[in-house]
Amino acid sequence: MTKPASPQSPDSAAALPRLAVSGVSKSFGSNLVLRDVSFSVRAGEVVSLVGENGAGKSTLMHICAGTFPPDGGTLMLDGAAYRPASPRAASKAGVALALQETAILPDLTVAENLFFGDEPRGLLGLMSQKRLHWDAEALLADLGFALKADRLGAELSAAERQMLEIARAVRQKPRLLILDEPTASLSSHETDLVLKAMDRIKQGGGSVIFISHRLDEVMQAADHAVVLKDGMLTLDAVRGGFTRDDLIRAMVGRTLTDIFPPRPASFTDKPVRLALEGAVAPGLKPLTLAVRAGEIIGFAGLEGQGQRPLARALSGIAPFTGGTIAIDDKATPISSVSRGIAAGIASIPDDRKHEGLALDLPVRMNVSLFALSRKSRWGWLRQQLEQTFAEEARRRFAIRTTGIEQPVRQLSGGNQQKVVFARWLAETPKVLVLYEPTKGVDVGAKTEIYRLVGELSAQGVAVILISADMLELIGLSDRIHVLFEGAVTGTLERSDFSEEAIMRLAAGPEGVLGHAA
Amino acid sequence: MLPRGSLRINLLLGVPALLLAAAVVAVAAIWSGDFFAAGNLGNLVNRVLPLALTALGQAFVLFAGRIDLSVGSIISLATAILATTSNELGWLAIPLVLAAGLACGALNAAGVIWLRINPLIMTLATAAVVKGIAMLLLPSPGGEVDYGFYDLFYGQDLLVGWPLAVIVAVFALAFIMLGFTRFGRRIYALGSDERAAYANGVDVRRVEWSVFLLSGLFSAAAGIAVGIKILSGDPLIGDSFTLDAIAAAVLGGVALTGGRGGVLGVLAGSIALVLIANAFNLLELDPNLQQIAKGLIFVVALMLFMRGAAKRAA
Repeated sequence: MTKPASPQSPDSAAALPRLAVSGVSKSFGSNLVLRDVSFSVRAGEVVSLVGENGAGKSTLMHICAGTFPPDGGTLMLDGAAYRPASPRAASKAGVALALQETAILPDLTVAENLFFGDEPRGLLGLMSQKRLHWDAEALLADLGFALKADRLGAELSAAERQMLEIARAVRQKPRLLILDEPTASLSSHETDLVLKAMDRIKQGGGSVIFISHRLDEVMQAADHAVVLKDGMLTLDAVRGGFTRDDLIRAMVGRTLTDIFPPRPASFTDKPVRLALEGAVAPGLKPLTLAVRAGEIIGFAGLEGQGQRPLARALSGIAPFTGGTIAIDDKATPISSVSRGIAAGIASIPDDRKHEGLALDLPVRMNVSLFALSRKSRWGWLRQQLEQTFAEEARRRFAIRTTGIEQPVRQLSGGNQQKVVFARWLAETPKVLVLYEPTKGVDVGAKTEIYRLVGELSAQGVAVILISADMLELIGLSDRIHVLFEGAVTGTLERSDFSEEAIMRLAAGPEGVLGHAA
Repeated sequence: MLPRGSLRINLLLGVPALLLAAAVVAVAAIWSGDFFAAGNLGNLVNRVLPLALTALGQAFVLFAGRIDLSVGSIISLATAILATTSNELGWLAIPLVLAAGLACGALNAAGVIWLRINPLIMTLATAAVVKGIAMLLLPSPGGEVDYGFYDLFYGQDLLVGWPLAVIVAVFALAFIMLGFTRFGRRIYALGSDERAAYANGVDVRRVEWSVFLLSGLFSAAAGIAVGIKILSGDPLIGDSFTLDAIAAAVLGGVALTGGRGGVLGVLAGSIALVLIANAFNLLELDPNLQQIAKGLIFVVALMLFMRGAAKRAA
């Protein structure tokens, strides 16, 4: 490492912020992601960047870390103009980014990943495998991370990858460390270790920006909080100057009760729509579940605890391999996507770009994909019907577009998601499976999606909501099951909902014991 | 003991090819008394040389997660240039041929990097272009390579002659470069996961340039070895090398998806392929069977190593 790691003379440090962001804007296509964002980070300060999915946090951090440049505005690092052309340039300037979607090299070991690009050299300037290994073990032990230096990147769990990513960033002794949702996949014990690692950077005179969805953590660790909503700064306050409720209001722009549909008190009089009995799938332990008509059942958990297998099994993409599945008391094995559709299951995938939409085709063709097969005759598409259908869908789902012929790629994330909903909900399903339904969606579209889900549930649709968004789970669900390592470790009724209660169950049986002791 | 790391893993990937090579030696030695005759062994080394060089160049590209289908044509072009210029230029023909190889590699790299053409398609197009040039230079097998080259390079009739020395030196250098330098690590990183590599500060374009240039250079060197051996040029002689080089690499444990494999495996894979061909000859089997066997070996090797990859992905 070169000079940037050393702290500068005290008089200049007091005057100049470590990072000054002023008037930064960025858009992707016609989608304005950041508009005129300004804030600053002092030396030795932990700044928490808060905002809902799609608020522009990650984009802002990628700009700071040199992944792409801003369209407008300037960045200053310790008083000097800072325009990193690439992640490498940012890293040379002393800015390290630990990503949310981690950048771990699968064919290299933990040690090799940790020191990538900065490997210790020995004889003749060649890399020394042994020193690399020792240095890595020493660093991990020092941080208290339970990670073996000789494991391959491909073998690591989501939590382990995240820990490695953080260790790597800490190793670079950065002037500014950026952590993008470092704790999304971590249990509370691991989270504590990460907060400690942040503290270390702070003690060494470095600054930290960390993005988090967990407000408890923000209240605990942040010296300074910055909130983004729909690409704009809505709160900028130092510790003591903000409360949890201030953060939520700034994130959402209104109080929560206005966003989520009201829920009926009880469903015991309603028939069971979806019943699973010992259903298993790869990555999912036997699951027994009964969802009544109109009920919204939430699934919470740390990242990668079986959410994905559950969503894919319910939709028929990667079917259940055992157990029984019944819809309206009729045994219904969901052995493929088309069987699932025939049985009345509508499934909104989390990755709309890959599993959901044909981005270059117009809205018209995207919304009418399934409806058409029912409305076609002898294999001929009926243009007139398709157009009427698409126009109706556009109105019903409030899709904001220049017209039904606009390619889906040009729509905002929220409107793309509405297109996915429109496609799946051409006819009212019996069961609706939502997997991260509002990922990358702005608050306006979110509210509309929640309203729609509320309406469907009022019509008797059984809803499964698999989400990492705590506010969404708590606001929308009637009951929440918490997943840990593919099994349900706990269930919360509406009256017991809280972020803390979910987190405690999410840490698994050990975490629960740890808290009890 | 070497700590578990990519170096050790990549070394171990070459073990099956080494075992296969050993098994073929054993079978051939038992069935045919001529196998260990000095003449046959020296001949084997001479035949391993061009394949091993081509496979090594190809391996650099494969480690980086790309592929080069133009290597065979580059070999043909190299023999054609050598056979048409060596009498006038003498030793200067060698650097000329190597430069031509680099130019072919540069053409591949330019298409892949600047025009963003899929490597499979770009190198296939380059293969056609380069073969066309070779045909223009030398429409049919012929020309003449200075006999002095042959005398010096293959003339000693020793087991430990120039061909073996070249193999050992080139593979040792490649081993050090891939296992012990940051440049080597970047090649593997790119093949392992391009996005992660970029996020880790790898200059993707620079690595792509390097591997395609190296592949062109090594193929040209292989072409020189072939040209000197046959003392002439042949615009089609390289064709079989394209598949053979990929087969040798895959047999040696190199993943076609990138990021995995080592040069010792590549050498072992090349030796195994040559030995199998040699065994077919010694056992006086139909040469067409040889083709079929090669194709099947390729598929089996792919299946074996892909199962490992599938397990990893799960």
